[in-house]
Amino acid sequence: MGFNQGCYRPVEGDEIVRLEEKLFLNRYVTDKQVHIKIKDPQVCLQCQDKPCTFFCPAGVYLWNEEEKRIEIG
Amino acid sequence: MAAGAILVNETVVEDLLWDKGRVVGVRAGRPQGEVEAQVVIIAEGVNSMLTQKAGLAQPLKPQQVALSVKEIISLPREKIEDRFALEENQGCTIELIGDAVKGMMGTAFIYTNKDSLSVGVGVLLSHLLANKINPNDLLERLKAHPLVKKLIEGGTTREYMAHMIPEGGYRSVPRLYGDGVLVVGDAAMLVNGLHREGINLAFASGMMAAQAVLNARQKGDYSASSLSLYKKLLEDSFVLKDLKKYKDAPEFLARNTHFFTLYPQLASQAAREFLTVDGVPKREKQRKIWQEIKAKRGLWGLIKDAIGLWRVMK
Repeated sequence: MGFNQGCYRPVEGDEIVRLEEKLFLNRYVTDKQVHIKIKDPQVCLQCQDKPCTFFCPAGVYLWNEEEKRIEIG
Repeated sequence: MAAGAILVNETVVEDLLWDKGRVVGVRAGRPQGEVEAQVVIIAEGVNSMLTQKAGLAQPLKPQQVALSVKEIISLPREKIEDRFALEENQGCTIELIGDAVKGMMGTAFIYTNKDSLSVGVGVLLSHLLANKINPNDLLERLKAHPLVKKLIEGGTTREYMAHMIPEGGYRSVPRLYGDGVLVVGDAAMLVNGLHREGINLAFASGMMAAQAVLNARQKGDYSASSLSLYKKLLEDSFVLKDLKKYKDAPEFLARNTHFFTLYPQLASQAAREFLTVDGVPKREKQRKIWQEIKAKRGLWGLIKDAIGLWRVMK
């Protein structure tokens, strides 16, 4: 019996709720100004995995390949 | 409030006020936001920015916090009572380790509320980073599991939320007091991750901070040495006694990931083998299970794990 035997993955037809839809459920009072700033964008260029782009539960950080910077929003 | 407290809501405390090396108040993010005080009790939660500014804590490390996401899924009360076999006013909690969180250090959980379920996952942040996993993807994967799917079927997701949980344990507890300042609750890392306790530790630390402040007020001395009573009270209570008991457990478990990958898998494999009725004599099944365990972990590995686990849990 292999280790993966008990594993499961969502299969086609499973209802996956998109993150955007989930976030829409929450009511926000947004500030006019973005309160998150990257102090030194140069650090992002050297950052290998760019973990902020995948661990954030709200998907706030996106890597813009063209402009070589992290987009916040 | 009845005793004369003033509550200021919807206001962010941005910084501490200092005078000759001691904390003498806070600066809030609003006009005339400077509030002077003889003592400041920091109860800012897990994201301990003020505690760091007070010079009591270091910036959080990914191995000191779990990142947790959960959904509130509404379901009619009768359905919940049926599905979880509950009497009126009973509740149920299910916690899953192992594959439910892809073998990372953490748990998946399902709690029953009156008219809804809380369904979520919480994983050590350093493990999420190492495996490049998005917590929301992990939650959707959990919801798609045949066992979980049946429990939440027909429900509507009402809320989605995320939170960090300070799980560094005893060795990550910051300095708990300074001149004119105390820190309580999550900001002070007062969470017992193994026992899923935190709110009770936060309550207790708040009460003990109040005791220490009352004592300081009687003496008219809010210096660090006077406020050190707070730490003594915590040490004499379940709060620091429990955290001290498990002081090496968070690091030990985070390092030995096979407790979350191999052992849950071996346990379910053994149960499947032993409980399947297929004409194979039980002693033979037993031998097969034992051989599988030895093959996957080795006798020395098992002994090492048993001793290691005993050391950090005893």
